[in-house]
Amino acid sequence: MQFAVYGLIMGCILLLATVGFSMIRRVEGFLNIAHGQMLAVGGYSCYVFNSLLGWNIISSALAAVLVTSVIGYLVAYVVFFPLKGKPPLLIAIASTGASYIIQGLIEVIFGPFVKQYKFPPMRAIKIGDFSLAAPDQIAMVVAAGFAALFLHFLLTRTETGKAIRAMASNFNLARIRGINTPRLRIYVWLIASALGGLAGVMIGLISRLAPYMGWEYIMLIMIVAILGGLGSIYGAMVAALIIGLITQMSVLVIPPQYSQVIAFAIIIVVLLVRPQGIFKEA
Amino acid sequence: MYNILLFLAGVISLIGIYTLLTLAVNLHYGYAGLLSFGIVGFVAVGAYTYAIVTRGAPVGEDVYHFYFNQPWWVGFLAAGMVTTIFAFIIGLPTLRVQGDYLLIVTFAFAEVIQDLLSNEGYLTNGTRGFINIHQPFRELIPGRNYQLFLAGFIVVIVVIVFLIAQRVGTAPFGRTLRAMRDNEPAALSIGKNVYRFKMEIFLLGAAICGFAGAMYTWYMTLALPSLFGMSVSFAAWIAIIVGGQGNNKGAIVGTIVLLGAQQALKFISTSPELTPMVSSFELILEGLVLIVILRFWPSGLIPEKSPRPPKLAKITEEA
Repeated sequence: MQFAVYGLIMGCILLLATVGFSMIRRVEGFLNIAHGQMLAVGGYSCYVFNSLLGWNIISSALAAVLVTSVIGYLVAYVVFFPLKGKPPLLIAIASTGASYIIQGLIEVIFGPFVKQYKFPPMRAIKIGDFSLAAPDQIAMVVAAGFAALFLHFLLTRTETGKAIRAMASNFNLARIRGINTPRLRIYVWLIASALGGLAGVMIGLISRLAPYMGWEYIMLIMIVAILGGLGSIYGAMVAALIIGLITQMSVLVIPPQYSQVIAFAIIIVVLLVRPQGIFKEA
Repeated sequence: MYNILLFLAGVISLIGIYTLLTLAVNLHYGYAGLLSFGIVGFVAVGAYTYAIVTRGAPVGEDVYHFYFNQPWWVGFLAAGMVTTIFAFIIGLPTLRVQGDYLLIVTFAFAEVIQDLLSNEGYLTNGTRGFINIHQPFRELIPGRNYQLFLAGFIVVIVVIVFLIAQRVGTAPFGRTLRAMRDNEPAALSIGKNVYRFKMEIFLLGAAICGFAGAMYTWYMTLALPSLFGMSVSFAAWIAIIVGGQGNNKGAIVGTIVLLGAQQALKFISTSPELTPMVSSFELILEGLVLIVILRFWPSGLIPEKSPRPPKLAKITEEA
């Protein structure tokens, strides 16, 4: 049961992280390796507000999400916007460069050692003899659910969301039809980075922060993205929960050091059997 | 004086090995437009294959079960072959689909290989790794002179690989690759089997990485999982971007520039407190170099020279 809870939380973290990654893949057309570093930025800025400034965890989480979204946009503004129109693989290489810079800056500012929030572990809620989950764990799942719902309604019910979808499916056509693409690109980067930041805050809650965490998670994010169908947002949501549950539940049968190997085996099989992923790019 | 010579021999060996990786990246990306981040995975496979094939019986606390006790050249060839087999397995599902998938799968492959190296003790001796790797011709050249010999030997191999890569680049095979890279539908439409060409160049590059892995163990005289981190792949990538994609000379120049700069940075980190700081700055610097070059100087130090096009002026005059 405990593993199922961990799996669910892992799935939620991957969901938030991958949805942002997929949005950028859809709108900008390249794999943003630096998206993993947004998780690190979110986690570390929450650490600053929570442990160094002494705010409580909820307000520091919110502040961290805001900071991450602004930083993500700035990175895009400095690095990616000028490269628009170059081959996507080239921009992907540039994003690894951006990734290096962010990791290096985090190391310079916070040092190479792991950090933790000032946040005592909570006791699990019990129903009879059956221990369910701690309040913070439930809060994380609820927050991720709300974020996913918010994104769904934003994309399907609002003008802005519809415009973003139009831009994702055909950038030039959207621009010709008078959609304000420069502004929408800003929104996309802000939303994607904010979601990544939220995922980073949650990682800080369930484990520790380390400067190289961006690299650890970007691989899982990309695996989830393939399973869900590259660039598909709803596919990414489903795939994130699947991968989260599988990697955590497999600990019951297979030693934990093989969870990465399992994830890798999954994508090889997916690519052989159904390369378009669970959902086709819709 | 002799110490300086030994140091230079070490640097030359390292540059030679990295040059092989950069040449492989150039074959993959520069010629064929394949973006594989997993170079280091192939290097690790090559290195460990060499170590296992040339290994003697385990002693002391060693936990590995497989050893073949073969001479170095058997290990060297095996390194290339086993790596090629791995590359074939990776290429089978990924080369048919878009380039993004290859990037992700090779990235994951490199991470998984590093994991397996530390977990599969019966095969790789776990995190203890292999020490005292068998070096070629070691028994003929005793003492420190061996460093000088090894540098020369590596340079010879690099020259051979460079000539092969050069030949591949100018041959019809290389032309087809470039056509495929620049316009895949067009290459398909004139009847080129794009998948097969991609697979062949992917295997060739991976084999070079495997050989480079074996040579890396000669240089280090050990094989540890921690040696094969992602930074090795990215070093080759930065070198190719700095030097210029699509030509082999650029690959060599880029590697020399990058490794020269890295060695220079090592001199700065003299005190132990400074070392983590310098390595963080190295990350920032490498990232900056990558972004700045891609933005302002996308063709690198030595731009790719396209083969001369047929004279259009004459044709238009006639028309």
